[in-house]
Amino acid sequence: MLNDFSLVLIFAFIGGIMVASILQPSLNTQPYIVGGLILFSCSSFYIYFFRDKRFFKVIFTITIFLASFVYLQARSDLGKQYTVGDYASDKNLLIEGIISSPVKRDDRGGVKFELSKCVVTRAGVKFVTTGNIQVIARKISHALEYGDLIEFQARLRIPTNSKNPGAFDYISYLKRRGIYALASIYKDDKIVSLTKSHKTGMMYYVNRLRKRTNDFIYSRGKSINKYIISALLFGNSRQINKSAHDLFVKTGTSHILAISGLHMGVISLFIYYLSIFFLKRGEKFTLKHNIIKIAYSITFFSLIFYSLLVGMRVSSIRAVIMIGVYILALLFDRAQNTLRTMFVAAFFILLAFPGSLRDVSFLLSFTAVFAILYFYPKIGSRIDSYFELSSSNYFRKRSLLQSVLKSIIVVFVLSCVINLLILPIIMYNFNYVTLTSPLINAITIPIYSLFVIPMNFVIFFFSLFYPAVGEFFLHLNEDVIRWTYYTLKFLNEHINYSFYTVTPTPLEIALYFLLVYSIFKARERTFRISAVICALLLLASGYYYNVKPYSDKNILTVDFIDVGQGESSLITFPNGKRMLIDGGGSRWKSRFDVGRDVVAKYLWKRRINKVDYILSTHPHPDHINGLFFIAENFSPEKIFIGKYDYDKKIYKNFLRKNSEKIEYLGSMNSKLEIGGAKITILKYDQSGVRSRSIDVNRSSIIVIVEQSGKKILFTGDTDSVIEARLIAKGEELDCDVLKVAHHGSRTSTSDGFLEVASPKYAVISVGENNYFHLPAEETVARLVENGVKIYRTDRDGLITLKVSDGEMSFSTMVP
Amino acid sequence: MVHFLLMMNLSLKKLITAAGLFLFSDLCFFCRIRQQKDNKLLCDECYNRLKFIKEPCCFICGRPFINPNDISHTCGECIKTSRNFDSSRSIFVYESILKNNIISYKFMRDITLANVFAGFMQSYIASELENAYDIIIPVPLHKKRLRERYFNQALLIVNGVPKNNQIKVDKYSLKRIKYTSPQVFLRGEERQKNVKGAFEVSNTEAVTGKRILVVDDIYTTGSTVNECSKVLKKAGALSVNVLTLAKTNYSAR
Repeated sequence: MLNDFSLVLIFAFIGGIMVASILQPSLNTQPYIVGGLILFSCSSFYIYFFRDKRFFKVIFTITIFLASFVYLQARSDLGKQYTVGDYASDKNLLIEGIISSPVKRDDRGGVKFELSKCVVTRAGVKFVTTGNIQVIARKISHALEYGDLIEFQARLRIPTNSKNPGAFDYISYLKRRGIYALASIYKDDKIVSLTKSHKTGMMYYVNRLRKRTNDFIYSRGKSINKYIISALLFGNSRQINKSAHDLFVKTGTSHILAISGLHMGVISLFIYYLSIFFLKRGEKFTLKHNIIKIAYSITFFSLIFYSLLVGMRVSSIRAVIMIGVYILALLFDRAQNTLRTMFVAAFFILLAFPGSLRDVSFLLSFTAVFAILYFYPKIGSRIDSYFELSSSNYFRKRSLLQSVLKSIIVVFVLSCVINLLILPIIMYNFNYVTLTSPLINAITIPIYSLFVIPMNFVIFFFSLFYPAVGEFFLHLNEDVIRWTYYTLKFLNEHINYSFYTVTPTPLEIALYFLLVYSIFKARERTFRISAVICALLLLASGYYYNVKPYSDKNILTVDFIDVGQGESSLITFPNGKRMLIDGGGSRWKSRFDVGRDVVAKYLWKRRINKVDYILSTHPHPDHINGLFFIAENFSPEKIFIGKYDYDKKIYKNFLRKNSEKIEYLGSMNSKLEIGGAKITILKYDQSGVRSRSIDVNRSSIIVIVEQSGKKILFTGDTDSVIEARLIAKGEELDCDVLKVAHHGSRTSTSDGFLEVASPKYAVISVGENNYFHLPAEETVARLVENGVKIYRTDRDGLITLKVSDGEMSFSTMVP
Repeated sequence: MVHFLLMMNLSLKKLITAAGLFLFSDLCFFCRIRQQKDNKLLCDECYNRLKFIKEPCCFICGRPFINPNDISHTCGECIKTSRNFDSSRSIFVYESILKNNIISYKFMRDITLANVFAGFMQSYIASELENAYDIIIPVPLHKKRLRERYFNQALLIVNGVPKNNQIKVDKYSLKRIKYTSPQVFLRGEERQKNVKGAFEVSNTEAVTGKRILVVDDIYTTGSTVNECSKVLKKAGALSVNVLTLAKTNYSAR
């Protein structure tokens, strides 16, 4: 393949972007890279005209490699200043803009949409901005639609990342979609609709079409499966209820719900055969024109139309490019090697969206296609020869049973090969492995691709022209989805085997791919040897990461995890046991679970899949919500929690779900000793707990962890009233490190308390640009006055404290 | 921009060709791995595996003789059985790589291959059969078969031919009126019976007094083209010659 020079250039381009997106070079290196680029391009021209051509190819390839480097940087950095994100502040602003994405409704009446061409009014002056705002509005009665010009008052926020190792890069993810700021609207009356529907352009009509069909599906559908139909047709999966969504995730079939490459592939096949079906009716027409080419052209344009219909998402455009390149080759009568076609498509996609390589969906799509085109044929030819199906004995007649059997085997093997290759990507990004997913996919995908998705188009068609017939098909499709849903449920209960795993390192992923490749090439001796070596290295790295950490003696580590607005700290004791104090959590119910997506993500990245003890200081959502996931999946031995007379659902649920492991901390002081570290739990006031927020905060458990003479004080969300009481009681509050109470609120950490505790360091766990303007300036000032060095999770990210032999050392994620 | 292009002596077509070359390269149509050599559409390796039929061969059916020192004459079979066509020629022996590709073309609908075959047809007609006929008639498919296959495999491989020679391809004058089962499943005499009365000339004027070249993809026993020739002769064709892309090896049958 390497004698194909244009392919080499494409490889160089993809490789350059790949290396650049892994290394993420800082802007300082840019002059050197640009310099190198100029040097190489000049020398390549010189060599092209004066020296031999072979050398030119090498130099030119390097030039392209460097150019792609620069291209990625240019596309991600330049021209993106002065965006709407620059207007973010903690004051309410008047924002005006046009809704530029489909308005997605969720199952609780909230809506989510993107706003473009925003005009921000700040201090009476209007600013025209670039970049989009993602707006989330809760409980909206306005009938907002694509193309509406609206005006509202809201705080503009810049999206934030949790700054922990292995955390999801939310900022870049949004930037790739053109979003530079977020806004939340809590009250309906804050929105003013200025103009109903900006009736410009084709997109308006396309969106009207979508809305018509969507309304049809919602109004005529008889069960909640109508939301799945809507999701499959228009990619709006937010209204699918959580249990159904979880079932798809658990069985490894959630890709069905997205507009994925597979989805687009199924649709294009459907359109192709449909158009062929009509085109072949005319005999003269068939003789006169090449109906295959016509059908492919129709397919291509329909795909473009469809991707307009689903709101021009990146995933759908990607699929259009991929299928488009294939069809283009066919229309231009080019011999194509499908694998090569795939790389050409990748080239175009990266040209359009250079950031794609950091998109999980891109990686998954391409690995799957690569698996189908490169790895599958090696097994597929064996299946063919078993069923004696190759072009040399094409005419052998086969029985129906044989054909059916063959297609079942093919689908299953295909599914296995794909899952084998995407496994490390799934592990790296989702930490969730479904071992039975090849089987479940082999059962589900044919139903969805052969029946449900094509039927959706029939529904779409009839909903526009003949609703009564459309309704019949709608109900039919709902029934099919229901049966598949029951099948999935049955499979999930009886044969599904899935679990959460730790995050593999990039080296392990590379080794894994090398292993798979070697196994596929095992006929050659060198590959057999390399397979064995890879397997041994993988085992060794598994041993290194999972066994070695326990041998770190005499060091106590505390990780203050950046969970946004909330709190979570992980203590690793000298004997390797771990305790998690609080787990962060979000106030709103959403698919984003801080426990899973931030705390566990960090733990998995650290190769931790067991937390021995969990301590919940008090049952407020920003402290306990994240603990649900940890308690369920990190097999704790004991869960410490206070006993309150507190009737909020969240507390009751937590107790109910973990009833076997719960250990109540009594009303008296108690001491624990874990691996040589002393833990003192101070008496907390539980008498006053009612439902008032302040009472719950006051009931916080206060913990002192002592290791080789150094003390760390965890204060939960307690306030100055309790602090005064503790001082009055003469409790031992002296410490070296203070975890500042209540995220640095002004009602806590009083001067008197600081005098008694006399910390050298203080850690404030607080969210970036949080709604409550925490930490309070007064508190910070008090700490500074007392000569305390402050670490903050919103600025420093993850803060790691190491205590060994009476020495303390801090390290932070953000230097 | 346009001026610049004109100055550079680039036409839009050239640009498209260049872009096409960059994107899809000039892969060999048969193996799809190696590159084409000198616009042959095939790589050297695949090209060398093709088996051209050369003289000496039978005057009438075109069957090649095993002994290379033979002189071309009418073979025994052609003396025994009467042929309705005047002569028949094939370009290749139907085996190995060509066989696989004809099958992908015909049955797996890989229509990009039509260009390769058309190229061979074109050069063969230009060099060997020049001025020996007035119209080309590809063997027609029945309406129903056409619907199943989406294209007429014999038609697509002569599509490029008239460009160089001023000869018309007549797609409509000859019609297949009987839906027959595919010849591949049948043998010898069954084939003859199968295609008997399958064809009809719908437009006699177009055929009368013309020298006709009947084109098909594969020649096995010659029953199909024989039947075609019979009908065409009956309609008043002056002469009927046959050209097929490939001819099966007799000894293998």
